[in-house]
Amino acid sequence: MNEEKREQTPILRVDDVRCHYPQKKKYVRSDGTVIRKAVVKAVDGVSFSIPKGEILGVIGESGCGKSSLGRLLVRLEKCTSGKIYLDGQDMENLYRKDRLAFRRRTQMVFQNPFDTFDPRHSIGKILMDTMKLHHIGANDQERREMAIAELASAGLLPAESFLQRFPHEFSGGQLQRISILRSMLLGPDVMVADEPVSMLDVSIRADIINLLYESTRKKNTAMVFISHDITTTRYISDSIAVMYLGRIVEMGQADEVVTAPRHPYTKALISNCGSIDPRVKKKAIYLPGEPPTPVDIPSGCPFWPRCPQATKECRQQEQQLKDMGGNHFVRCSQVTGL
Amino acid sequence: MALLSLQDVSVTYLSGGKRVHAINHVSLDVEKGESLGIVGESGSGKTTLIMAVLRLLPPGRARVEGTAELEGRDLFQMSDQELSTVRWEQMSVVFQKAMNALSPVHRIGKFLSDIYRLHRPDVNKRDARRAVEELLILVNLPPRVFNLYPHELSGGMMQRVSIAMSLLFTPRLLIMDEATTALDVVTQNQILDEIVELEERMDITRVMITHDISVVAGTCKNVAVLYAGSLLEFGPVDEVLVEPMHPYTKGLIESFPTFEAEEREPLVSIGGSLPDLVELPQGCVFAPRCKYACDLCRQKTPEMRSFGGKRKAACHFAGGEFHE
Repeated sequence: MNEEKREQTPILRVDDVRCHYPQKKKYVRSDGTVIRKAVVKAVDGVSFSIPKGEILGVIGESGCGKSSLGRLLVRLEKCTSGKIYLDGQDMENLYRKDRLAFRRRTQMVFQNPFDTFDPRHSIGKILMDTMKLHHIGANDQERREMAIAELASAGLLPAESFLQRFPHEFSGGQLQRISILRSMLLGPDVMVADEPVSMLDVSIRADIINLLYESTRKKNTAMVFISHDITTTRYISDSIAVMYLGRIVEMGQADEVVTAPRHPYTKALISNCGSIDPRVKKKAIYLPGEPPTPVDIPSGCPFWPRCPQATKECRQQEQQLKDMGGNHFVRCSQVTGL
Repeated sequence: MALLSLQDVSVTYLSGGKRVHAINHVSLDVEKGESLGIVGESGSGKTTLIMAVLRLLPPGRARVEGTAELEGRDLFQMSDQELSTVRWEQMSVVFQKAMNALSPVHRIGKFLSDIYRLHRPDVNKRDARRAVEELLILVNLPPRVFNLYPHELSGGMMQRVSIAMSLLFTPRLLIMDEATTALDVVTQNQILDEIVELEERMDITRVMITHDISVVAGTCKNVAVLYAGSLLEFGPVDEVLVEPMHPYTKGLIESFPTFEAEEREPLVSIGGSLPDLVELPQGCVFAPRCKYACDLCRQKTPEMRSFGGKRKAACHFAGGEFHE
């Protein structure tokens, strides 16, 4: 990340965003006490920004709020509080003013490619309808040619034959490629990829990762890559944010976060990530217990019940993200920077 | 004598007049104390293979051939009565979805002690309870779990209950079918560490199915690579994953990004997809996707050859030179 880039307005700026889901049922703690108006705090005060064309990886355990965050970024979910700015403009306003125009600027690729398409539409219709809706291409003939060119560019050959076929005739890998193509057709400013390869077989994951990487780089699209797979996230991302119970606990350049993690949770997470090389033996950090439910987030630092370094202060005092220098931020009282 | 010895095992599913050749002539040995990881893509027949060994395939719909000897006794020829003494006591299984393996209407303790007393009818309720509670502690669960229902537990806890259940009678062979795949990395790793430790303590040998090579690299001694129902490579983890002999194993390893790489090396995936198991290709099953394939590969099925020690590979060019 060079200085010049820093100066520009980030394409996406997220400012203290929260996403709370009120529950109908009350929540009973294991000790018998009851929370009457239970609220799932899926995202609880997240702030970050992404410069144009960069890739931010978001990692964390299931239930940490990474998918909810992704849905907020493309306005599939409304923020409970906080603001998201797309190229300096309030996303909520952009969305209200012109939904289609907004959709052209933010796109999403979902986890399950089998659920992303209308099973009754041919691939040709799926791609060409998208273009028609967004006024891309002058006529059907031109759109058809563009669709063929796009399919061919992703290695889906012979492209003509794909146009007439239906989603059920394809493998997950092929569908995921079509899903990425469809999103990138619009040349969005921001792309959110929510676990795009976790449903796919390992032998074809690499293709999808490469396609995502190349197509976003080509169109200078910023991407938020959500995954629980740390190695893949590190591979594709420029920077990585680690989430725990709805908050970012550590954020920094991808290599730095993975090779030199500062937050005790990141350290534990990365030490538990296995290598495919049996010669590499790592000592995994043991974390007691399981992640608490986002309904009943512990006071103070939410990680203290499992943290090996927790002190009395951690239990009482909520922590803020601290700048460690070099764009590295850590939310922990035990880590001192600068 | 090998603990589990599979000789020429084939499984054919009969489906709507079609024959799906899910497993083709697989032979492998699992020695005592040498845990085995079976890796392969989805559809490669990993689960079918162990379901055949467990005799859980529907007899009318699946034809199983070959022999599977557990300590010298052929599982495929056993009567149902013999089988019920072997299951749980000598070999047990942990499935991927622990939630579906537990009864939703029984408390964990009741469920486990019922199974315990089914095999040990002379044990009274109190002793059964004690045995179950000890097991729960063994898999790092608080004893209060005894009185809980499955829906009150998290995914990790349920999987621990499943593992406790499989250890009820300290079996010789423990089969795990993607048992930790659905869990988070931290939980997965902790459970795997616990299992490896229990194995050493209780003299259990594990056969583990997974598509995650890093799990095999970290916890198994040997690895078997399965593709389209055929065994392509077998050998010690330290050798196979470091210097793979079969082009498919090589491709699988190359398609994983690594932690250790300094530079961003482009990821290479294996082109194409699994062959149709109704009509297997002539010659090597992997030939249509193999970048080194030549005419010989497309005509003649390669034999499984030994390369010293335990290493085996089914490729005409294994151990020699590959030409693109």
